[in-house]
Amino acid sequence: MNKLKAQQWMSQALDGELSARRRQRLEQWLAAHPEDRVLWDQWQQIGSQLRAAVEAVPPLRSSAQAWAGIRAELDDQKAAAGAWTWFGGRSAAWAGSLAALLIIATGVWWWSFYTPTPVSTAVAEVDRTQVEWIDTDIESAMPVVYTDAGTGLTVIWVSFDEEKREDNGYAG
Amino acid sequence: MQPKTSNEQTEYDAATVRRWVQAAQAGDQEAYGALVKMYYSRVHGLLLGMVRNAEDADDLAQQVWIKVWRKLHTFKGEADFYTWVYRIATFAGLDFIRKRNRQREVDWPQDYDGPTETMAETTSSVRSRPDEVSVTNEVWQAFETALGTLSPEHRAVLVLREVEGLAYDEIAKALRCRRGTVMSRLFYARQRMQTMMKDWR
Repeated sequence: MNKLKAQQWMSQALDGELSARRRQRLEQWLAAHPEDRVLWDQWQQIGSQLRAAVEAVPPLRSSAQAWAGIRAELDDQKAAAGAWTWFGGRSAAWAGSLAALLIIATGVWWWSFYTPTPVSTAVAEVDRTQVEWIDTDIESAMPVVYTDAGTGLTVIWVSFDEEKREDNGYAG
Repeated sequence: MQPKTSNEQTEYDAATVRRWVQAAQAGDQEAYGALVKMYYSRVHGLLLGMVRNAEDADDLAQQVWIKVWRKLHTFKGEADFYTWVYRIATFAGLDFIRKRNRQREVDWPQDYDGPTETMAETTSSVRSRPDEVSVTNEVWQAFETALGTLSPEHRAVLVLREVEGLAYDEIAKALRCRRGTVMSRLFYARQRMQTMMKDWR
């Protein structure tokens, strides 16, 4: 056994984690190496000093005072959580309805702005063009121009004799 | 259920503790209060050994018990209740030390003098009976300083072993590391403490 191994075993022995057989070998080592026996004592002191230090410093508050503080904190958190639960529970239905209403309203607004305008409205909005004459080379064609009462559109109607039209090569 | 809570720090039998835990899990704050009162001092001692400052240990102990309440529903009763609590406390302590160390690096890189009241200072003020003072304040100061040179992980292992008296397997479980790691950390911590304290012996 070398020094490092002996010291590792010392640490384990202090913690009660060394087997009986190794402990026996360690005792033999310590008997032959007094400087490691000193180290053993010092390591023991470290443990007892740490325990003494911790025991010498009691909590600043008694456990009853500490519990009062903890309870107050828990109550605060419970109240906050309760408010949140209410918000997320019964009022969630209201919040949901409100959100749905908002979505519908936004949709309607958007639709009213961006949906293509109906033809009749479009025509009504553009500058009217006055039809002054209609020229066609269809023989016997008779143009008719009138304003449709329903749509407001200016309708140009050309009527002609079908037989004469075919004779002049306007088929199809 | 009305647990007896007037007698601070009284150790109750395992069955009583189990009943309190079950009641607390069902939302009974009185039962939880009984558990807090029973173990508060021990958790404080564990944290004090780790953070080395009485005030910090007090604040941290309170936070730990609030955290324990929040996590209570996850406690399955497989381990002893206090074992479960000290695991939470140990991690809270480690977190605190890491954060504090980072804060020090940011805030006081040049002229940091240490916490306002260290364990050594508190110890010397609390130890008022002369017959109790077996070592000088300087030695306590050196001890506290030496403890402060250990990493949070090494300190945690040392405290869990020396203050809580845990076995290697329990420490390994608490810190979620291997048994061999516990063994080597303890060995290193002792060597380091002994070297740092050499001049004071």
